[in-house]
Amino acid sequence: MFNVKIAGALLGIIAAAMAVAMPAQAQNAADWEKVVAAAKKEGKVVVYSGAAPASLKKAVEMFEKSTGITVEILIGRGAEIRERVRTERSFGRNIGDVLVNGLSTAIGQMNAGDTQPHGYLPNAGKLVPPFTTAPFNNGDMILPVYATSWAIAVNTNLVKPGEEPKSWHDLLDPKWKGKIIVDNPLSNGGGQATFAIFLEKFGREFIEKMKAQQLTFSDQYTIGQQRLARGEFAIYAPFIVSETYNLKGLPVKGIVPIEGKTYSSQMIGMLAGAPHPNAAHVFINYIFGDEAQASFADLGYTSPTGRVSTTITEDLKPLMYGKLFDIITEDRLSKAVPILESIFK
Amino acid sequence: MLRQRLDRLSLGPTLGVGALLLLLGFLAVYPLSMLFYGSLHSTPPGMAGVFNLDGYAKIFSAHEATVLANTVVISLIKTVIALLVAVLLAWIIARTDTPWRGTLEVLITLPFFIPPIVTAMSWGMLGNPQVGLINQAWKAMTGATASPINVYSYAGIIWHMLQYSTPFLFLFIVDIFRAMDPSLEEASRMSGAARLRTFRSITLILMLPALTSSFILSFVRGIESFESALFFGSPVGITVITTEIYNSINHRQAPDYQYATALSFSILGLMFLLVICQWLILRGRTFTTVTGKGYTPTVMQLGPWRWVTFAFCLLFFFVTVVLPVGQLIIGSFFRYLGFYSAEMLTLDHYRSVFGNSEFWRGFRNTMLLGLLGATATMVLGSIVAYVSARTTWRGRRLIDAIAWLPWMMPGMVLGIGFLWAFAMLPHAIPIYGTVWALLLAYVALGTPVSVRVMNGAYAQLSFDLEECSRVHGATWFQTMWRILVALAWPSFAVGWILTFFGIMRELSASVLLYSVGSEVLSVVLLKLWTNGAAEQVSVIGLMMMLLVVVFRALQLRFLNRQIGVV
Repeated sequence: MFNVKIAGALLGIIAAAMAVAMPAQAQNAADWEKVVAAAKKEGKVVVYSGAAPASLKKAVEMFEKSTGITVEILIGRGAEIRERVRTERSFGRNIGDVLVNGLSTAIGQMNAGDTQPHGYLPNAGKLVPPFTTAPFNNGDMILPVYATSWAIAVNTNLVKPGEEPKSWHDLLDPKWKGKIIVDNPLSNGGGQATFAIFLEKFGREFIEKMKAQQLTFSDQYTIGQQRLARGEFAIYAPFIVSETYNLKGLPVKGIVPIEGKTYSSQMIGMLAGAPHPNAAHVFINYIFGDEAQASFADLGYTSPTGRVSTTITEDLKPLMYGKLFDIITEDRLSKAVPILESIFK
Repeated sequence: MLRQRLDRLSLGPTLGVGALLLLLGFLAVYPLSMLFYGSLHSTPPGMAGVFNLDGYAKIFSAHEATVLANTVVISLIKTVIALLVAVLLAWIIARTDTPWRGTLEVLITLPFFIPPIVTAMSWGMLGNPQVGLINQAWKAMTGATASPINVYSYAGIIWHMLQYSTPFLFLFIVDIFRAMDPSLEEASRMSGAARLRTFRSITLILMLPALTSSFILSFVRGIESFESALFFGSPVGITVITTEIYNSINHRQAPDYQYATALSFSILGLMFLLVICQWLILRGRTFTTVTGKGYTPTVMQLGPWRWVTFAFCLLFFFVTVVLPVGQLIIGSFFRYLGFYSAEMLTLDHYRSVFGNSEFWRGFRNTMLLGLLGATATMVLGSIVAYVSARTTWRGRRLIDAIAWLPWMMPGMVLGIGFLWAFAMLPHAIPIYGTVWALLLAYVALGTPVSVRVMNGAYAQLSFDLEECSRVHGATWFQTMWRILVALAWPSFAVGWILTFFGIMRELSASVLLYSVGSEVLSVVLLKLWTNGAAEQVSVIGLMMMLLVVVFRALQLRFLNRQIGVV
């Protein structure tokens, strides 16, 4: 009798724990209200983010205000977030609910089992091409938060308007020898993604000619653009176009090459074993809502739902909304990296 | 004789050594063993994989040989120069009548406490070959067209490292100079030896343990130095071991922990050989300079030469602090660092920092962790050093060696070791994801310095002081408190400051172990840095420096009252 009581109590506890831990999987709009109610009951969502902290700030504030759910953000560099998530999952110490990380790292994490299906998202239907397909759209696992695009930046004191490069190929002009700083093509990030695209589209010869330009490498984009602004270099590439806002008043100009901008995206997904799955579910959905997407567009990022900024000035529109060239995927990058290493190391 | 009796009377040497072994084992051996596993396994702990030596196999390549040569040569040159300058500065401050020595002492140590990314930004502006201010000034003055300085070079890396190594070594050495009984030097002088010979054959020899310890500490730290090589080496293709490890963790599509940990263990092996060399050099010698006989610390009268020594100290301060920090102070009042025009004048960076609740939360957490961590570290370091230097307990060498271990592993790798180790603990032990994880990591990381500082201090104290105390009826605790603690107090205070600011700057372990709500200042700095807010990073760097000035001034004033020799 005693044992039956204990067993009954234990079953009750397990059932209650499961009810808390399992997301109220909404399959349609009618179920969504239940998810929101369960999310509010959970009260908070923990986001593990490798993205620039400022990029999520406004969206998080608006989410907290509109839902009353507290957002706790734990930041780190992409690889640190990846290892922390992996370690916590391996040893059953799940703390994070939502993952935000760069495209190739996030896909690696998804493939490693760090994420779980987020379920039905009312706002996911707002995604527009090319963000509706792979590598951005990965079923109900990870989705694009916002895209970062890369162009060419020049120091306007050193490069006169008539001399400005108009194509990625113009970077090979001998007059720029020793005057170009690039994001390190050997490091995971914008530089490597862009050089991998060059390799595919323009061939190995292009990369070797770039090397002959006596490039200086930058491992941190903020340093690269500071050195450009100070006049240490005439050209910086690839340049994150949204950084234009952070360089206002400095002699720096972004130029969209005729081939277009290379680009990539920050991705979002629900972490496997998330302690607050409903709050995570609601948060991920909110990210694709108009308010959040407008906040990303206002910061100069490309919105995967096609939102445009209402605050952007006319002169910056060509840079921000200019033609997109290509994006590199995990498998293509894996093929390109050894070749880039053999050229640059 | 009495020493042996003391050992017998103490609270169970076996128990004491056992407790220390347990504690140090948990703090140092446990995380390292996780890393060792990582170096031998194809996947990190918690994942299915196979044991192999692939990580170690990758080390044997021409590229690695270049990386190793770069690292050793850079660190060696840096350490030799830093040690020479530090000894000279310490001698000037502790043993000469150079004017305003108290003030100079605070100023000389300042560079050590400035976050390296802050000074790196500054030297990037001062010493770049294209538009660096120093080069511009040189060209304007001489009409030259070539730039004499390029910080993006081997010399630039060494130069930036020197600014941290020299004050670090100075802090180690100055109190040893101060605590040294001058009667030995006086005897040498009275026997007809010249000043230089006295310095060479008495002063330097007496300082051998402190000097070799400092040399090895600094050399090892040089090998593990990261920021200088990242800022000034990577852009021009100079790779050292730490940047190689950083790249293998942070810059690959999937982090290669097996290679990173294998590389770190290979370096650990090499460094351990160095430590064994030091033990061999010092074995069987005694270096007691503080005895029970009374002495008055004297200073050398330099006459007019004291203004030369004064100018040397001032020059060091000017080059290592005024130039880079001055640039940052000015820059912090402009919208962008390095762009000085009236329309860009602003107080926004100060408003942003002081109005940032995350900054204040990080500041509070760091202060709390710094105070607790530095105190706990120094207490542990004092005990370990005592057991190692002043007892004949079995196992004391092992304790000393274990306490060294965290120093020999690059911080960014050790951070991973703590992450794995704390996450793997049974869930009933509430360390992972709490503030305790940070505190324990800080204690482990700071213990090598605290042990070295206290070892140096204890090595100079004669055993007759303890014997005398015991003969006069003092208990073991009274002897410890009234003799050892009282005489080693200046070194304890220096070690505490070093540890406190070490905690304040620590990032590698912090970013992997902090949890929401327990953010520390270094994580806030990282956040600002990745947001591109270099100017706000500078403001916080300046605040940290201000804090150092206050701490150091208070410390020296206190020591002055205590021992009256500053």
